[in-house]
Amino acid sequence: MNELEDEDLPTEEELAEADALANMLEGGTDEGVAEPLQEAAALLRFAADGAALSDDGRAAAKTRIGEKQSGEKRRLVAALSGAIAAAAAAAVLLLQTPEVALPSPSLQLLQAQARAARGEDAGALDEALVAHRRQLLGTLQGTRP
Amino acid sequence: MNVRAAIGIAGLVLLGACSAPNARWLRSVEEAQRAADAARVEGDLEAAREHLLPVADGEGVQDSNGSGVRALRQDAHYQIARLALELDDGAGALRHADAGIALGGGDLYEANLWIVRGQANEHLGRDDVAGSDYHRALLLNDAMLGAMLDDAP
Repeated sequence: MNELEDEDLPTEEELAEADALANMLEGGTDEGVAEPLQEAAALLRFAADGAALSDDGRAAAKTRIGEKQSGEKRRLVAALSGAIAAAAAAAVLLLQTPEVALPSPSLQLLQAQARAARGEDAGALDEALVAHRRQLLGTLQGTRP
Repeated sequence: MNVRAAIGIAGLVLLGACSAPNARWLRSVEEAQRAADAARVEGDLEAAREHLLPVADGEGVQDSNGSGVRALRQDAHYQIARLALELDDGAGALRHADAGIALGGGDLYEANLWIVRGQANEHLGRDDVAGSDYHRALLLNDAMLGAMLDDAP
């Protein structure tokens, strides 16, 4: 029984290796640590904090991500703006009413105008204008050709 | 350009396009003309003039660039000037003739305004200026008669 207990106890050498390994894991040197244990310890340390970014690294990464996102956002905004402007232009083309041609004055109206310009009969021009005025309004309102 | 600005511009453009026919303004012109005619029949020349003033000034017009708007405004100026002469207001007649002539066009409506300008100047005792005004009217009238004869089959 005592023999078995003695066999389970770590030797001086094993205790020294354990101390060296603990020292290495706590940030000390790898002196006295067996090579396979050095690799295992290195992996453990990397898993603990090796993948962590420094403050500068984190800031640089954020900037790169931000630039990428704002570039994409700008492209999206430009595309939306272009689409809206194109839709508005198309709507304007569809809704635009062509300039309506004013009704031509009748020969009777022009003759009345000529007489009025010679100081002959201004009243006849006013009378001839009544019908033309009605025709002008009707044309502009689209109720007369 | 951002999305908000683009939507704003598009809205303004569409608003302008939709209002191009000036439908509401044309209805107000028709009502003003009807009211002025009724007032004239009743002998209330001042009221007739008041009804036509907003038309002459183009009040409420959406698109003032069209020749239809110009023609209606010039015709209102012509009628107001004629009413002013009946009311013995030569200066008022001259003022409206000038305001209408300033709108240009070189057609029937401008020629009418040169005629009423001549009448106003005659009323004010400036016969020499009146003669020049009538001459301007006759030149435009001749051009329109010539065009009509050219177009005749």
